[in-house]
Amino acid sequence: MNEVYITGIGLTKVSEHWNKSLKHLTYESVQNCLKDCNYKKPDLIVVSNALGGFIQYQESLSNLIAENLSLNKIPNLRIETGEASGASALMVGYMAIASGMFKNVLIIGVEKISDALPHQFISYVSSFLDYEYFVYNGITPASIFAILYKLYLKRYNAKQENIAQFASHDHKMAINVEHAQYRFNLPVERILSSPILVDPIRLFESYPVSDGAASIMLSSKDQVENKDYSVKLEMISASTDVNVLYREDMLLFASLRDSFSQIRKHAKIELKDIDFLEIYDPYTIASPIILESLGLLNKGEGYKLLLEGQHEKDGDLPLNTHGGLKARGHPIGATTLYQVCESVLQLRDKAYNQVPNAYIGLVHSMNNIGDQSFLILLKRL
Amino acid sequence: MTAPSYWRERKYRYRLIAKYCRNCDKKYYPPRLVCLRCGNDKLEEVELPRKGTLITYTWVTQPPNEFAAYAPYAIGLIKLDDGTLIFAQLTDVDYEELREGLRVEAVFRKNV
Repeated sequence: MNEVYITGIGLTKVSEHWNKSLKHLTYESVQNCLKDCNYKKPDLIVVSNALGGFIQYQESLSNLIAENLSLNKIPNLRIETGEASGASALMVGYMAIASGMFKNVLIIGVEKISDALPHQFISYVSSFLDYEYFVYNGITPASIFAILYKLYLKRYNAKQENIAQFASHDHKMAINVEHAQYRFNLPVERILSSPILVDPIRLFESYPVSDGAASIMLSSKDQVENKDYSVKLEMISASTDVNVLYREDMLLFASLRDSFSQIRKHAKIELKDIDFLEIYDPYTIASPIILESLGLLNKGEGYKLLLEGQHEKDGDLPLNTHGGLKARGHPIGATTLYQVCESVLQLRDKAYNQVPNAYIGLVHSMNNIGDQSFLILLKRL
Repeated sequence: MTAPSYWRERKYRYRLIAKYCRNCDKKYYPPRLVCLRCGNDKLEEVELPRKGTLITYTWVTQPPNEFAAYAPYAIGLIKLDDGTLIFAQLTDVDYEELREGLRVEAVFRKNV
């Protein structure tokens, strides 16, 4: 199997881009990415987009984007696996290079949520669940997270102020990050006094409405020109779980546990080897469950390291150093590509909140309530 | 949701019909075609009990488009009397009256 490298990244600011279309956002991020990789010519384009068919009525998006970029006569495809679309697109790119079939693969993540009305958006994002049985009863992903939140608080006798601290952490990180959507401090008191979104989730404990695009150039080893700039995409592991109703324990993402055991087995990496971690945290309650499912902390103690300050950039395990889903923003199909681009910045020593001596980074991505989990392992050359 | 999909699923939804794997003694609701434990594809259809206990609940203020006219509404995680877990909307009850352990039963509700 051929080794896979990230030779270029390109970002746009995450925001509500009222005056830009899917095409504009994509163009910007791809231009940045091509410049960053010294204008390599891709031989495959993989687009990650979850909701363009619903929101913009735009299917065949990858071909439209290719035409708009004047990248014709190259195969293109679009990947959709709900909120984990970005991780799946990367996996397809990884396979394309690893197989030896392609040399340079351009991965583009793009989403534009602000075009949808709020209730429409909730419908679309709920379609990631089993529509005929969940949305039919008015069940949304937020309401399932709310139920997990209540179960968590009760089972572990936890306090909401400790879990809400994860949003505060994300916001503190985002202040320095130029491409982040919400760059301001958000103390826990303000989070807990914000309106209730879905009881007990407060407004500021949820991800915002975000538009954005992020691009990554994946390359084979012979295409790597600048070793200081390139990062090795060591491994992508993926696993799935049944929907929450069938699970033995609702407060554990078995797919993530499984995904991490693949990393341990094949990449011989343990949690202590990881210099920073990016997690997929649409709601604050997701964070402790993710950290517990990874095996980092015992059940019910998912916020322990956070309270000890160990998730700061100079702590034991820096977490979401560019603001996570809540403060950097969550343009769904682009989110995982943002996470990976930010991790590449860390490994280049160019991050907005630079982790000292960052050599190995782990990125977590998921769909729904851990129905699908991905882990992306990155290494400095 | 389209009319044919209402029609196709009506039995499972309105009569709470689950799929049952005799090998594993496991019920699936939403119904599945294959047992997720043993791979058995000869699942039987069984009617679930219509009474159960509320495990926990929440209040949806940001509904999907389909339920925009009904918000805010309560939904619950319910353990039916045979142990099967389901999510359902809670009706004919004020949010303040809801509590864990409340006994609930499946009813038809008029769309108002």
